Amino acid sequence: MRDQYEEIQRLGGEVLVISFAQPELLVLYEREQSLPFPVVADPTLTAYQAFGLERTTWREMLRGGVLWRYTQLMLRGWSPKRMNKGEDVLQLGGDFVLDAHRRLVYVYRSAEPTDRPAVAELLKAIATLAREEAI
Amino acid sequence: MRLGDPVDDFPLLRADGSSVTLSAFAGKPLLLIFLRHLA
Repeated sequence: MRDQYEEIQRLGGEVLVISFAQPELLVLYEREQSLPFPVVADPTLTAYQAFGLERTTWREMLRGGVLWRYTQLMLRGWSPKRMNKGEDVLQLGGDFVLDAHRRLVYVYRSAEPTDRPAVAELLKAIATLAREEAI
Repeated sequence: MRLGDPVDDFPLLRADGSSVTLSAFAGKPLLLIFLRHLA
């Protein structure tokens, strides 16, 4: 997403990353990743739950398809890292786009841990919104 | 929460522990990325 951030800003959008880790871990994360957009914490999972982001199960995690996708990621150079204290390996993430009035215009809830929307799909949602708001 | 629904002004925490709410980032199209973990 870092690579597409300029494009999102050009469209008039902003990015906010939310983690359920404790805020003190965000300091290390921000330092490591040098992200150009803000990262905030939701350690009580209030927003996660409100957006309908659920926990998966170990059974789902160990399904062949998920393991295969992790293998593919590793073949592309990704390496698994140890979870930080307090993190929950079963918690799923998601991506949402809000309009300028905080209305939900795009929803993507990950069905399993490796499931994320295509970046092009996210850019399209923001571009569509930017066009509509310009009218 | 469905498409078109207004989203509550959720309380969040910045890395320094200070409080902020979602509305601080409103006013323009906003992509929210909920992470699974910080890896």
